[in-house]
Amino acid sequence: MNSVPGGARPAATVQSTSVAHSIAYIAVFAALVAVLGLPGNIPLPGLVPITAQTLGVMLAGAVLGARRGALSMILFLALVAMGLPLLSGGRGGLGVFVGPSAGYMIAWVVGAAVVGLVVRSGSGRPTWLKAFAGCVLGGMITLYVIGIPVQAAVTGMSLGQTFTASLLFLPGDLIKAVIASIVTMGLWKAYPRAFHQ
Amino acid sequence: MGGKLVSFALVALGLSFAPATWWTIGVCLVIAPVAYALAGLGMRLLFKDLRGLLLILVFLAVTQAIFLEPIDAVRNTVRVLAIILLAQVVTRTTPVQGMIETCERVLGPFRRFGVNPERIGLAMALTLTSVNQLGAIVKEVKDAQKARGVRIAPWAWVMPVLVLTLQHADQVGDALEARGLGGSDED
Repeated sequence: MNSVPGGARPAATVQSTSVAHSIAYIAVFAALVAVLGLPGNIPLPGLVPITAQTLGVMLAGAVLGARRGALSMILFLALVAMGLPLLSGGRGGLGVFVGPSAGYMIAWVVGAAVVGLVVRSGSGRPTWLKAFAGCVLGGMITLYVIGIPVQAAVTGMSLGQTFTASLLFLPGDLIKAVIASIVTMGLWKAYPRAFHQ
Repeated sequence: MGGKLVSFALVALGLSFAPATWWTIGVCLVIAPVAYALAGLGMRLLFKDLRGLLLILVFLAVTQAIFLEPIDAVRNTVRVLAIILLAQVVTRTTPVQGMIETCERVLGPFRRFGVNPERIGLAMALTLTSVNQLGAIVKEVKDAQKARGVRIAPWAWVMPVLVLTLQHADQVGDALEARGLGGSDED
């Protein structure tokens, strides 16, 4: 967000986004994550549910950038904590923040920021490589790094055991990273205004 | 609200450090039904919440049973279940409005660091209305594509929906700006 000293805003330039627009984008992407949870979990053989919601985490970071992407995830999690059933399968409430997947959800905030940092690195313009690398680093690895230790602590299993059990998520997460990259590059062509900071 | 949260945190902490005995397992199994009964939530709601947790529980129990001693697997599973259900009691006995007010009270002192509780409240309300708006956009796009009657890929609605969603965000931003929100400072 560009802050302008003195409180006066210059005539809107293509590259600047007002606080009002930022709030709207942050809210809409939080809503997008909620909507992606509506189809529910897809139970896989092996009993690991896959949710499309992490797709929203990747997109929020890639489109909104690190700061607004992270704010959007904080907003989403705050609404979940208040008891709104916005998580996939209609889950919500404080309970999810003490359950086995608590770490993964907290990690959405950091994950969205990492996706944003990678996608906006260098020239600041998204490329296929940066989009995919960002989604893998922020939308997968960051989530594992924070989520797996928390899951291990909550369930009382060792890190190694939890990691092994989490490998079941890998194929689905890779597919999501590919989809998020395709969508990011598509939106960059179709609606570049959304990417302005 | 504050007292409820603190007692929940203490009980959750206690359960987390309790040793693995059949006695602790019994406490974990009893504590949630007792809390639901005391809060006047009823057993029907307890079963509804349990159904929602079923998949997680099965996953938890299966992975634990593979890696751990049976008693540890049982203890861990019922402990996680008890803590989640207790948290659910806190949530269910506090209305969303009460949560938002607690949120604003907690955030109040941070105003001097540039936090704006009203703006956060606005963003929360906007998110909830946007969920409905997004659903409407999905329906609109799918109907329009159906009306054209062309056979198209099943995922062809995704990009139009997202572009319309972003346009919607910009319209909301314009509207907020027109009502005097925005300008110079950070949120």
